[in-house]
Amino acid sequence: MLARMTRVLLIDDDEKLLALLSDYLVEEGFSVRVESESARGVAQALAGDYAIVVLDVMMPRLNGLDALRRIRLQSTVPILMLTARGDDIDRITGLELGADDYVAKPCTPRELVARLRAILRRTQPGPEPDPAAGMLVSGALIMWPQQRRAEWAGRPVSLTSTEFSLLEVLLRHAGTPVSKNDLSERALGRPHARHDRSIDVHLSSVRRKLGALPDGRPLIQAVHRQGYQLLKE
Amino acid sequence: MGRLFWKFFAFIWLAQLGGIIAIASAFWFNDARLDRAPEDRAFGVPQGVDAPAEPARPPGPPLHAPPLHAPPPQEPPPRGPVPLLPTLTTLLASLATALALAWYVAKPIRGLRAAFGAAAAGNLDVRLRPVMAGRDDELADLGRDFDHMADRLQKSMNGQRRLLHDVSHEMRSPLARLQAAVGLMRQRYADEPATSRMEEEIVRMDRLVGDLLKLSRLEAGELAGAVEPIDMQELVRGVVTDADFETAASGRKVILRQESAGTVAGRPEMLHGAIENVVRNALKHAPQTPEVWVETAVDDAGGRYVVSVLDSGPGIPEGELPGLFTPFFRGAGAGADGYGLGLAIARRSIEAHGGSIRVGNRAKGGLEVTIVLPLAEPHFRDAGDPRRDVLPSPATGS
Repeated sequence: MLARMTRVLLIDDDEKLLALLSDYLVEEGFSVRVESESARGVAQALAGDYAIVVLDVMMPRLNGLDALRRIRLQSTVPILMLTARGDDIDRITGLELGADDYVAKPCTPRELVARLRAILRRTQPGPEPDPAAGMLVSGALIMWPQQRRAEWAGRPVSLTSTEFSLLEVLLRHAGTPVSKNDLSERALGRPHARHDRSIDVHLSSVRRKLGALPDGRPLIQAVHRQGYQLLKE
Repeated sequence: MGRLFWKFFAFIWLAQLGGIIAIASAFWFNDARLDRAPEDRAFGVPQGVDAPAEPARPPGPPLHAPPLHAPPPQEPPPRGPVPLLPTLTTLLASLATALALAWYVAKPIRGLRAAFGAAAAGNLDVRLRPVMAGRDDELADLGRDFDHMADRLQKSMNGQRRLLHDVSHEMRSPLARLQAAVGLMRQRYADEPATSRMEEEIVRMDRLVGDLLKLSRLEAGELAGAVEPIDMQELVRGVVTDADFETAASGRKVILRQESAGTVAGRPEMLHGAIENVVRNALKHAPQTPEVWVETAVDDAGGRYVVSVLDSGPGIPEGELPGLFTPFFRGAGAGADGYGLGLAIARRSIEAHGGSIRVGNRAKGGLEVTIVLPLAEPHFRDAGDPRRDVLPSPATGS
């Protein structure tokens, strides 16, 4: 179905693990390139045309989080980060820096592939035209989901793919609260886990990138115990 | 002031008083004798021989002196009243010196006691060097020995903790590779049941490594996440709902029997994990019990929030109760897996929030674990809410 194989870049300092994961992903139909040195990985991520980058944030020398920051300075390529299980600080910092999602390491390769596909599904529009496609507008915010483009007050806004998907879900339901679980299912492609701060972190980043409403309130508001809501002007 | 201080004080003061009384009475009798001397003279002793006559008097104690004299034939001149002012000054001076001396001896001992108490409670950061500065005696030596011991203990404990942390951390890499390799195997031989068993065991090992890391972080005092106001009712409800859902397959229930609202300042993930561990422990170690009950209550007077987890299982022998909170404790009642790390982590997490956790057998049979947490200060509950721009939910908003 796909015109060409999905290109994945794996960046991790554990070469043996890279070899195993690469075998697995190739078997699953991906085209894989591996980098065990983060600086080279960053260069590769910026130079190559990858559908997604898998980045281990626990790396020596150029730390994975720094690598993430460098990639995000120039590119919005989807990034899935690998974090140590239980290390919330790395995870939240990574999401704040613009990673699209995370997988706790060690993970089964199946989990990794499922997470990869969830991100790819929303970044690569399917072959059949989306019936709900077209321009979405609310106040000063305009989004073109098919082109994955957004504008705020006439200025283009640069969003990561996860941020874009979250904002799109909120925009489609502008004026009503959307639960974190719905947001997680629709934008991250997985159910919301208790105490998972991913959505909060992503949305606070979106909020920073967009301006405020004329009355000074931020466009996106948390609704106590309900989730998030995009305010209608 | 401790009892030792008062003992020292009492001994020193009594000794001083004894000395003062002895000296005072010596003077008193001496005065009495001198008072009588002119009377002797008056009875016709020649003036010139007065002086040589004095040394001839036997030098015995004054107590025996009076009987040697003949009783005075006249009324003795009136003795002055007890000198009030000098007596009071003497008493006060002796009181002050006794207090100072007792304090000087008792203070380092109090310092030592406090230091040992802190060390026994797990705080090895206390040093006596600053307290004992300027002293040079056996007590100061004792203080130095204590500092030395605390240094050694601290080093060895830190080393152990680091080793535990490093070993757990290093195990992650081979585990990740193993998991990837098993994944590959599964991809190629999908219907091989052994691969799913292997995956299960890897997941279990990973969880264990994760718990070890969590415990070692907790013991080192590294706490992740920000402190925020936690709605305990909501948190406990979440734990109960999840646990009940998971255990429903085995036909058992986790029931919230009684609940109260309360706000605790803390790290929600840590507290959630702690309470969840206690509930899981009850489910695991009372397998015959059909229901596990959770109760929450607020002790407003004491400013505490209390969570109790109860089961109607066999309970645990009294002697084994304190061991439940040590890692990998194996009591007679524990299965092949032992008690693992769950309760040890729970205790550390609760203690990190300034709370306490107790375990005891219920009168009607079964085990009761009680978690007590300090309630948040009212101003923290209102002003400390990080979700400042939160809209009221339609259900609760006006």
